[in-house]
Amino acid sequence: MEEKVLEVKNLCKFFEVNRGFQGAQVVQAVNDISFDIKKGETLGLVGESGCGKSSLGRTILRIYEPTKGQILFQGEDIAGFSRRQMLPYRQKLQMIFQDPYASLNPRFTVGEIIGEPMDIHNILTPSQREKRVQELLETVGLKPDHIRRYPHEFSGGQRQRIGIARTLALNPEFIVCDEPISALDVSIQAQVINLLEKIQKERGISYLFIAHDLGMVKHISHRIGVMYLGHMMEMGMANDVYKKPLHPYSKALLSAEPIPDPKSARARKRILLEGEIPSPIHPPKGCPFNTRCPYAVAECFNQMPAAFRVDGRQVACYLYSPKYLRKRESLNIEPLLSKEA
Amino acid sequence: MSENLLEITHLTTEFATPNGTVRAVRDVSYHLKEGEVLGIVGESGSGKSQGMLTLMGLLAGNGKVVNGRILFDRKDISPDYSNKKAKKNYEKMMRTIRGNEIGMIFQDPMTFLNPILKIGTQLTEGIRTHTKCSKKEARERAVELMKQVGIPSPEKRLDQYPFEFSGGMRQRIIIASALACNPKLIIADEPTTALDVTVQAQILELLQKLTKESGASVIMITHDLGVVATMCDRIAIMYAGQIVEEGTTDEIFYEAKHPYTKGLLNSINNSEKEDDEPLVPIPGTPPDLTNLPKGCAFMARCPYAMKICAAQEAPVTTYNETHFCRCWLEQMDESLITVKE
Repeated sequence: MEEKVLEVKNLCKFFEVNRGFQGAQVVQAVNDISFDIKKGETLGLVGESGCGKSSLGRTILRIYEPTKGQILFQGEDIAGFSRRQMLPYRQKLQMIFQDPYASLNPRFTVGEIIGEPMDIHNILTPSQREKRVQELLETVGLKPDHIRRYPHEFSGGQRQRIGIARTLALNPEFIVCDEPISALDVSIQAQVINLLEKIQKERGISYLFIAHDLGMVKHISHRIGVMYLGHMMEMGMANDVYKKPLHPYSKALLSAEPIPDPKSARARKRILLEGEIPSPIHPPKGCPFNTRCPYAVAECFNQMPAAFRVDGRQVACYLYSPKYLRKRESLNIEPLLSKEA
Repeated sequence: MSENLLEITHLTTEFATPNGTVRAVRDVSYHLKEGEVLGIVGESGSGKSQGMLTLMGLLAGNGKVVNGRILFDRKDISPDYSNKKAKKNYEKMMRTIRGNEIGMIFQDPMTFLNPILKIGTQLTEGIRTHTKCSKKEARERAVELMKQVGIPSPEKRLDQYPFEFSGGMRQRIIIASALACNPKLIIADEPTTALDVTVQAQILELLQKLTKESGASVIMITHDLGVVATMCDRIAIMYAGQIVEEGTTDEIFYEAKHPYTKGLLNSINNSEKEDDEPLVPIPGTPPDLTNLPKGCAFMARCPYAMKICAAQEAPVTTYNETHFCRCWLEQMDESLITVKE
């Protein structure tokens, strides 16, 4: 694949919370993250709740103001743009939300919901808009005569389709999909995933796909990034990361995923992590995973490791620095996921 | 083979709503042996939770048990609301069973625990109600339970409030309270849905270990096929208030018969799959429970629907002792067709 649509460099987003007696405290929701997305590519982001994956998506769209770093969209740094400068870019950068019940205004008809972005950006005349809305409804698998109905007349899966139609109204080039399927039933999830894949094939849109269902993320993504407490721990091709995760956290996360296949579920060796995610207000010094990592070495408690390049992917772990090569071999941590039954 | 701990036959529950009668549970029969783990899988609205609430006698005010018999531990605990006296007796009996012989684990740990009572108070409450023991003995038992579920420094933690615990810790407390009176049956309603993947793995492991030790039977209600593949001996698949297929875990995953079961298995991404085969979703949406079709409820979404499916509900086909399915495709006996086309 060729052209980079989006490039993020050292992006940080810190939130100030609890301004009180103790003074302001800072949550480092997104911490020094860099990656790029090519045209027509899907980057999947996985991680547990509170790891900053949604904050990252929203910061890229400038829904949140970035604290530091660059967001290059088609070569232009939009991180510092004013509201007015952002306006033309808002058409190209869009978002699909998690909850199809909360993200549609119950007092608008479907036609008004899907037409609103065109109204804001002054695209087409009102009469042309209706035709366009009907086309969009057909694209997402609804009927053109649904245009006069209200959201409450639709099921969860259909509402999510309405949300997707609204997103497509402005012909975006990059869409952040923030857990678009996690509120849907299992049999409906696949419908929405297939729809997103079809749209991508037809229009060459790039996705940043955020989810915690690892199986679905693997299915739709070309590349995957694993996040933990605001840091990108590992990033690489979807199949590589799934078959052979390198970072100790990725390994644990993937082995914890329940496999819907009894034979391999029995054969698999689970890595159980001790404890839970530390509070993002007081993250541990050094690598944020050091409190739960079974292989932590002295350096892990001092400084966050830089991303090392291993087999064409990036791993932020000292075990992959040349210095610890021997230790890594002695630990023999490679075949942790014995998935063959 | 050990004896049946629980036997439910032809259980039917309806709810009176302003929009008409909702037939939430329709003719559900199953049984459970001692020490067995049964998974009940279904989408939202399939009646899996309502079936359990009926069993526990915890139906909402507009709910009515139309038909059915429940045998638990050789006692008849079928709901009886025929007259005032029967109702009183039934409710009195259920009070001695709930929390004592049947333990419950619910989905959301925050709503289950009372935020203004100390953990110790909530844990000892059940013990003091169901067994004759002093406050001190109950507290000792609570400390022991907290140790079993892996909560460090239990003496101190008993005097804390729920908000001081994380989600995973709260779920451990709920497991502890479900186990408090050594129940014979534990009903776990989506026990890990609110938790992150790595914490979910911890809780499932804990649940497996503790039930194995105590020999309790478990009914696990979930929509996650991955969880049942790991945890359950047998699985019942529910659709629109009916059990459409029941079998051992292997039978369901490798020899699925019902089109809905097959559809479910095809629509999830098994991350074990070698390359990214496309997902095959089930088209359409589940039916409206107030206005169920005359024949098979799955017919509108079924790729193999026949004429008879619209006219008459499918009978149960039995393959062996454990494997049942409710579909005309599997039924060879045409004499069962009583409706003329």
